[in-house]
Amino acid sequence: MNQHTILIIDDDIDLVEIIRVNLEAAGYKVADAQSGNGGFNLAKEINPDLIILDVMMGTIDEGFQTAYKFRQEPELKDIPIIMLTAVTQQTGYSFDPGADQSFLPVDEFIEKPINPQKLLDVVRKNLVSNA
Amino acid sequence: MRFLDIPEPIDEDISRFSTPESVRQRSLWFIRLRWMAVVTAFFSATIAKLVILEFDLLSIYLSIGILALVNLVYLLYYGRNLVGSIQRESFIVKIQMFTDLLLLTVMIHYSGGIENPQIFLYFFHVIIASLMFKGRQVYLIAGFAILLFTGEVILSSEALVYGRLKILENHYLFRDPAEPFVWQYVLFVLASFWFAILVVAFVASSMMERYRRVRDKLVHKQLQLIDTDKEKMQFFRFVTHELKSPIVTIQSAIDTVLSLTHDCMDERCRELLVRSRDRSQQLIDMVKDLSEITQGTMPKSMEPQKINIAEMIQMVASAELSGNPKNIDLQLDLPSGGFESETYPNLLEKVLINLVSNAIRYSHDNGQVRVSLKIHGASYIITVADQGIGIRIEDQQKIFSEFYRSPEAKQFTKIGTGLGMSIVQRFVKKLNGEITVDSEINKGSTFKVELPAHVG
Repeated sequence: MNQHTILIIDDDIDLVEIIRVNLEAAGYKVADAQSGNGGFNLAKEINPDLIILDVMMGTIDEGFQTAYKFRQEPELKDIPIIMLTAVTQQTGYSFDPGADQSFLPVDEFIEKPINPQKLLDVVRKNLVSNA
Repeated sequence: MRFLDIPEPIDEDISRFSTPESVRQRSLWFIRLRWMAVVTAFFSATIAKLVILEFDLLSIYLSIGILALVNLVYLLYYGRNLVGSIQRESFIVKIQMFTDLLLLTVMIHYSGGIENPQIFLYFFHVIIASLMFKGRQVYLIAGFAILLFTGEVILSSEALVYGRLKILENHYLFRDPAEPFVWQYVLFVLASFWFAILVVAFVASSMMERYRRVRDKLVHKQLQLIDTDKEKMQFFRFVTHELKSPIVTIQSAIDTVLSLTHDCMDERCRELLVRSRDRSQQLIDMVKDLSEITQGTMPKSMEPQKINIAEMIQMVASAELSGNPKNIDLQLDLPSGGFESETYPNLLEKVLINLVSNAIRYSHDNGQVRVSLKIHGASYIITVADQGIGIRIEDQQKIFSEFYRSPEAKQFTKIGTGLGMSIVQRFVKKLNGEITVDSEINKGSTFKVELPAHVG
């Protein structure tokens, strides 16, 4: 079986580690970066099968900005992106990608704290739909 | 009558009428009062003439005409001149007051002078002056009233005829012109007038002074409270922000360890982790609630939407009930065909979620929860009633403060941050509604939320 590579972009190294442990246990290859730009450059290098991206890093919307950048880059624009959102970011904004597809350049949202089973389900689903 | 209501002090001017704008505003109120006085004087003089024959109606009409004319002049002046300095604005008001007293004296002179019981109208001027000015200036107006009235009495007094000093002609109402002057009567009325007008000046100005002091204090306290609330919100925001990431990470870590090692972990260790996980979940709930409270303003992009309230109640109720192990009997009493309202759906949804989940949380096993929707004129009332543990009367208002949980609630369940009702109250307020609670300990609680059909 071709081993999928997943790129995690998040500035919280503990959270990166948590996701990494879960994904590696499920047999995925994992790479990580701690900033939007770092993640973008790494993605160009390793061409991952899926990206997990945190919304809030250096700035409140660094994740969104990075996602836009991916979508504008011809080689990277088709890679599915799963966005991590913090608990308190729910209020007042719609995070339903179905409703805001034209606006939000991501395929799926996962709310923190991360539920391992849910994470794996979402990752599998997006890898399959992109296969 | 709104037209004649005393204007409220504006903005930072609290209650002293110390800004030119508020003096101007009050002055315009005087002008409105004066129009009323003109109309009233015209009709009462006409009617009085029908009853009392010895009465110089023409001179009275003339005085009323002059009063109307000067009022028009004031109005024109204000129309042409922007608000000036405080001294100028106050000066114009004083001119108005002195002119009013002068014209009143003229009218009283032509309608019987000291015999005319309408001399109590002088008192109104003193009372009105006390609304506008402070102590000394009120006495100044009162003094001017005394001077005018006493002058009128003396100058038109029969006593002075003999000294050939009589300047004004007397107009009799009831007296016999042949035997007109009873000096005891004149002295008695004058003394009573002086005394009464000074008492009125004293009472009115000291009451106004007291009112101003109390009002200042209240406004000051209110400003302090607003500041305190702002600080509190800032603190909440800070705490929420600082707590958020570590708790989320801790919970994710525990979940990961539990998920990856649950087969090979010691049962007691697993138990410990599960309990820690539940406690971190409580903290996350608190962070969520706190962040909702600190959403001081709604996002600008948020617009009211037309939604079916009955459908929303149904959705929230069934979502809250699903997976609940208590076997709650949920009764919905909704108007058939639903009810459409323009509101902020996400705020209303949070209100409903909190009320229904609380009703279920504080119900006993197999208890009943009733949610009803009633239309009431231009508003609607949502009622959430349970037969649970109830709230003591002394706790019924406290439950709306942040972090407060009644002793009974704490004893009944560990779950709950004490923030839910505070959120409900804030959101109901944002929706321009009102919430009331009716509860009896061990019998249950009923929460009523009244909301406008169109959030304005």
